[in-house]
Amino acid sequence: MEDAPVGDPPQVETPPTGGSTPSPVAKVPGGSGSDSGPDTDPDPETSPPPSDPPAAPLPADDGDPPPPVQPDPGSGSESGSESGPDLEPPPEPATDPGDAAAITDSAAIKFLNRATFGATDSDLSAVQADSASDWFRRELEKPASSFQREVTQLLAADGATDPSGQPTFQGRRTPNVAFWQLAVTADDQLRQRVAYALSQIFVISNRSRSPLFDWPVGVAYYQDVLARNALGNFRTLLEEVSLSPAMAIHLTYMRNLKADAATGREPDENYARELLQLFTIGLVELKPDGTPRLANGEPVESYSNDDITGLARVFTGLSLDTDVFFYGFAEENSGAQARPLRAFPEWHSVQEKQFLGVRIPAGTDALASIRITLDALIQHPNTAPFVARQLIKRLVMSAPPPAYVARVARAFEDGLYLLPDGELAGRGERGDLAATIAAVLFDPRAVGDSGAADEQGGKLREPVLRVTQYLRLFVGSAFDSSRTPALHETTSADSLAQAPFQSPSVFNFYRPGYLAPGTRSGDLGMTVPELQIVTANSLVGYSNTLGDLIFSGGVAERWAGAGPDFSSVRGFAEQPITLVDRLAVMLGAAPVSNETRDRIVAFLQDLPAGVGENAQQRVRHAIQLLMTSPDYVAAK
Amino acid sequence: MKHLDLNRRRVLRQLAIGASLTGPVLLSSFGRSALAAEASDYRALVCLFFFGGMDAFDTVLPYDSDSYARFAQLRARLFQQYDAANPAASRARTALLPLAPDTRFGSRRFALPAQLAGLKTLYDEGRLAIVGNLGPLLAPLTRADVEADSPLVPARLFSHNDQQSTWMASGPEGTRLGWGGRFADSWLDANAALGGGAFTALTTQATRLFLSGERVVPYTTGLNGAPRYRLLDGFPSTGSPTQAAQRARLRAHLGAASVALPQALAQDYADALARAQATNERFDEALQDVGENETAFPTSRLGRQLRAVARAISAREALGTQRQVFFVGIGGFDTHASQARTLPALHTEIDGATTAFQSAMDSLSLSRAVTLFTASDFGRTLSINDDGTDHGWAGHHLVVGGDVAGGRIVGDLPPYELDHPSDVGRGRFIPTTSVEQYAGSLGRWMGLTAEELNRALPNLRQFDGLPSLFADTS
Repeated sequence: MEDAPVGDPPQVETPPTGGSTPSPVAKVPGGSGSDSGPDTDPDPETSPPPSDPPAAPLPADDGDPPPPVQPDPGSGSESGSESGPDLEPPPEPATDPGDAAAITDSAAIKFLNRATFGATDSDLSAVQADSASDWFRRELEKPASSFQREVTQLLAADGATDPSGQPTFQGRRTPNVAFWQLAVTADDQLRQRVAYALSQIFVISNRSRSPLFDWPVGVAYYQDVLARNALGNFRTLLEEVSLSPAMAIHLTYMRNLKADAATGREPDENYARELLQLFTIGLVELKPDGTPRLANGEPVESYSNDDITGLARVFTGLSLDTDVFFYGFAEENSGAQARPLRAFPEWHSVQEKQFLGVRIPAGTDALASIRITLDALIQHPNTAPFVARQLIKRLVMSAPPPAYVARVARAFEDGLYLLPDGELAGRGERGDLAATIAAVLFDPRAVGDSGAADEQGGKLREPVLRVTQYLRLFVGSAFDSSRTPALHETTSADSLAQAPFQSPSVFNFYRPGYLAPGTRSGDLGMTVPELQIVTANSLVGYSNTLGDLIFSGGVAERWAGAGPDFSSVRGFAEQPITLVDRLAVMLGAAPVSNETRDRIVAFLQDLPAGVGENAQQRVRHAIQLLMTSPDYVAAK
Repeated sequence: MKHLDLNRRRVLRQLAIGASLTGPVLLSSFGRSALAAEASDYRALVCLFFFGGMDAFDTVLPYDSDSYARFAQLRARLFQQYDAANPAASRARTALLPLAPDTRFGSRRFALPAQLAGLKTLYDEGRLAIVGNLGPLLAPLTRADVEADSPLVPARLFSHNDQQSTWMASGPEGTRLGWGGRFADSWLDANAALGGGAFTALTTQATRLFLSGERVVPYTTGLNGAPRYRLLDGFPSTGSPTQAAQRARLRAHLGAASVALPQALAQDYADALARAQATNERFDEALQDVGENETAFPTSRLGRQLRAVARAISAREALGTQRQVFFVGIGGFDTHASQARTLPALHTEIDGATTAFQSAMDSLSLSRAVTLFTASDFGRTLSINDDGTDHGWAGHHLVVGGDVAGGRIVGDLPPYELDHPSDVGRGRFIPTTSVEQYAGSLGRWMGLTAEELNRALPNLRQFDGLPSLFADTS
């Protein structure tokens, strides 16, 4: 890899908006999953569950609340809405985000905080006016915002390139600047939110000193690959990821050479290994509910090193889409970073390739080999539960129960999901992500309110998502990411200990299987990735970073892009109890504990009263304290 | 903050922060002076982790002309990228730093690359030992065992996160207790008696597995001392009564004092806030007392981490610690590509930071009290993939300190060739010294009993003896 930086930004085309799923095709009256039979057979030898579509919510067998459709009238109180001081009259029981008549602020905000970068008043109104199902369908139709367009504009700005046309530090950070801009202000919120979830699975990184730091255009193209396919099909996503220059750089299969017996050279195994371990099937064989299949009490490894050696041959002979396999600076900056890789037959291994029981005959070319590989991987019984579990963890729940995973995996396999309003999401093809995401968001375990007693529920909100939520609520469309440099590198524990597209390793900021030592969740066997970045250092870093955003008021130069507007709550400054209760719902979709609430209220009451700056200060402190409370950080 | 309330500090010292709030704490109220007298007994381990899997073959290189020539041929393309034909290039034989011959290896000789000149000096001074062909094992293994898929082959070889976990905690991802933390369990009470229980295990990294024990919870330290909440700045304790009261409320909030939440995640976060506040405030005070290190450290990532460790060690008395274990690390070793560009820079960073750390320990007269050792996911393949190497198994490691029986190679260094009995494919070598033996030797030096070692290292019994890393052990 040359470390030559990119010159003039190449012409980029607006990426196609393909991948969004057409509107549902059928209306299934009142169908619930109650007749679809047992989902997760405890027998470890069972193959994937029967694939009779549609994959409506399956009966919960893990103590989940009942499915949203046809609730048992007798159990309404268990699956009811948030308790506590909602601003609305007490809601009907059996709230679900698809039920327009019953949806409360809390339930709608909870749904939107998962499906977007933070619930805003306008989304809240939309969900309440129609239904969460309608909102979801409208999101599927929205065209993808373009990272390439953002990055191209940012690279054209003053200071982004040096006199020779190469990107400066500012220019190299443009994909990260574009991330925050689109997260906060883009209209295609569901797509962008899912793309961000995918960026934590299909990890690339443009950290300082990494090769991709010099490739802002290549990174932007990759960001568009994730966004364009986020609600499309997983198989297409895999192929576009595998053929993207940025991934080829990050996992080192760019210009990967076929074996050479004379020199003992072997193909680079990096992508073969991570494609299996991190993107598709994982390390051990899984049951349809995502738990390991055991043999003699032990997990069974899902591939051997021989499989890796065989698969490594597939990803040889790929380079940038120019005429030169061993490309140089000119080719690198010819726009090829923003096009799929090209296969060069002379460098591709034409030996037979064997892995996971797949046999690709000798003489098969690179692109055909890749297609055979990805076709096999999407059919692998591990892929559906593996992907399902990851997506639930990123969007809804840190440690999902197996039955929830099984239901989402089922939607992935069937490519269909029955929305609460009785219409279907998805096109019926295996790997349909619209169906899968619908299953993640509308699952009874996600929607149902198990209340304060749900010891094992919820998700530790990611620091990045806490900040996007604040920005969406209190800065909104005025947000200018390019004028908010403190958000461009938030990796340090003095900052957010998390930075989109700047992960420290292929394992993201935290690993899906992380069990935090010395914690209650760990004692309960809950894997909580987000606890991996909670340290004595990062807890303070988050509070200070958030405080800079809230208190700067657009005065401090480095926060010039994030001047907040608190008019939506400033009127409550003289009523601290109302202010805190209202913010708790706006931000956290749930009331906070009495201890937390009383302490914040007491503090606010002792701040100077009055309008103007005093009112602003009360509001700022109220937001800061709520957003640093464990009550808020642990989403219900 | 220089005018510390001594009474408050004494109380804080006696507070057991962290895991132990019970019995031994009470000893401190009358045992402090006696224990202070034993401060010269201070000892610490520092684990330096190379994330990504460092290529051991490209760190300890073959030097005798035969071995060098074969190695250069095996890695011809990589050597080209090192420009090794140029006599001044870093992999040219003439530019290597040869280690003194060792009759154990016959005519074979070894060398370090020029980027490790400082470590070479420590080796020559007898303060650095190389431990060869070291890696995770459940029991001694042969190639036949591996080919027969013996259940004694460690799970999930060649996978980064699993092998990191296996190095740190004797089991793949999901294992919860590391041997550093389990060692530290044995020291917790003694430190707690001095008031420093919470500082028994310190890390500069987000990774905490290595330092997590049954009772020990590691403290994550910043690179410039403890962080402070800026929110408190507007409410000084020396301000008006209202300001002081407001500060107390803010501190209670930021420390999640007496918050009890039914949701496990929320309680975990509250507990983390409480622990962070208590430990950060203590750490901040202790470091202010000792000031800066005399030794200048490089400003590299690793330099700043080891500088932070040296500062914490210099504050050991104020912190109240007698036995400690530290964890630092750097990434970037997963050199599937561009190894010739990447690895030398990493070696330079290691060399500068480690030698500075050793100087700092010298200046504190703690050279013999502190041992630094290296660890990594795995070694890498001997065969190359053009301009890089792939995931391997055994690797070579470094142990540094005044008490180390240095200037020698401990354990085996199998020939840098393919298809010999240690090679399970592409030059992935079966380890001949297990990580647990390595750990056992370090733990024994720290004063742990055989029983304590066996509790921390579940497979140690499967091996004969420990590598002799220190002057006072056989």
